[in-house]
Amino acid sequence: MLCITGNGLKTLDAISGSIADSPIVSPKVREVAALVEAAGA
Amino acid sequence: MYPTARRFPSRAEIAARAPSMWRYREWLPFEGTPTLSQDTGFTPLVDAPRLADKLGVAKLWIKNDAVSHPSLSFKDRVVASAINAAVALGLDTVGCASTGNLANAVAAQAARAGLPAWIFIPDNLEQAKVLGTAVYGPNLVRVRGHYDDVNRLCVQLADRFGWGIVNVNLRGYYGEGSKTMGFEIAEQLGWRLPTAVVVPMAGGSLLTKLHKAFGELRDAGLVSDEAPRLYGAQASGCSPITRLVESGGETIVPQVPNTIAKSIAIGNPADGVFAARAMRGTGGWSAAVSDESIIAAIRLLAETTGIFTETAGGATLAGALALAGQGRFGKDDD
Ligand SMILES: Cc1ncc(COP(=O)(O)O)c(C=O)c1O
Repeated sequence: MLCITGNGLKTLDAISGSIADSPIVSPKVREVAALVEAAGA
Repeated sequence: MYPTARRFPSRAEIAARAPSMWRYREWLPFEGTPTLSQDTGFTPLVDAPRLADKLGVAKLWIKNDAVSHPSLSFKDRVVASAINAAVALGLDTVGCASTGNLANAVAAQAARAGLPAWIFIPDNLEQAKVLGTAVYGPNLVRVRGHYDDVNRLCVQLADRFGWGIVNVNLRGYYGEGSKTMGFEIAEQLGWRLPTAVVVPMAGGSLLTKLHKAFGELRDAGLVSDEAPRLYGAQASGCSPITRLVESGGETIVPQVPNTIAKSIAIGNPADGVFAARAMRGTGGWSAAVSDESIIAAIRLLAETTGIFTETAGGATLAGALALAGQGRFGKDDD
């Protein structure tokens, strides 16, 4: 049993540096396809 | 504090009550019907099979107070208990010394009750903790120093102004609210106790009160299991209770906190000795974990269970992983 006692939105500062930026794409299938390929999915 | 002729409710009577911490009101320091903060408690118990694999146990449960009402931490429980006591005692102003979550809870519940609040926090808290208090409109004061300095100040202020400082002069009422997490765990497991429980520790009150709650349920004949082994988790940058467990001593050696886990950064924990006794007495232990492992554990919990916790929850999971690495859990633990 783990007691999880508080919500993550309260300490965003603690983890923001460890989460990579998300890619930004134009609304084009080929740009997403390139991401899917890069992700090896 | 408790009426001597208390009659405890049966499982069926409890089940018929509203889903809040007040369904266990006979075990709380309160007579009659509470009027404030009636929606606090009865948070979900979540089955976490993917995380169970990582810990090498058959079953893993998460008691999810990340979705506590109204302010998203278990401190809602202690404040719900203390604020009803404050009103019953005729106090017209409440307050707290806080590492962040208690400030959120007092501010929210005082606002709802229409009570003025004076809230004192260390000056280095996370932005969301400060905003998440200020938004409710209390008198919020940031104090240069660590929690222990803030707490010392509040002891003097409680005397000087006659305020109900929930974790100082209302501490007896405050602490008992934590027991409701233990009552819920037992009821949600079908009136059974788990075998091992991992708990984040700051002042050491929650762990101590969970121990008390499990004992009270046995005394009332609602469960018949052995007391669970209780395990504590702290950040290495502030781990006076873990050090006490490891040393086998009886006195806390205070520490100056230095960790990202600010919500559990109490260098001179009020209930540290009792928490250490509860861990040793149940065959449990305590872990101290690095800030890096806390961040990794926040992400692991999110990725395996869909629960996003703050740093205290990261310390809990990182602590559980460290304890598992020491071989402290058996395959059949839950
Ligand atoms: C999220 C969270 N978890 C756990 C704790 C530890 O509580 P206690 O002081 O009862 O040990 C705190 C205390 O501030 C907290 O904010």
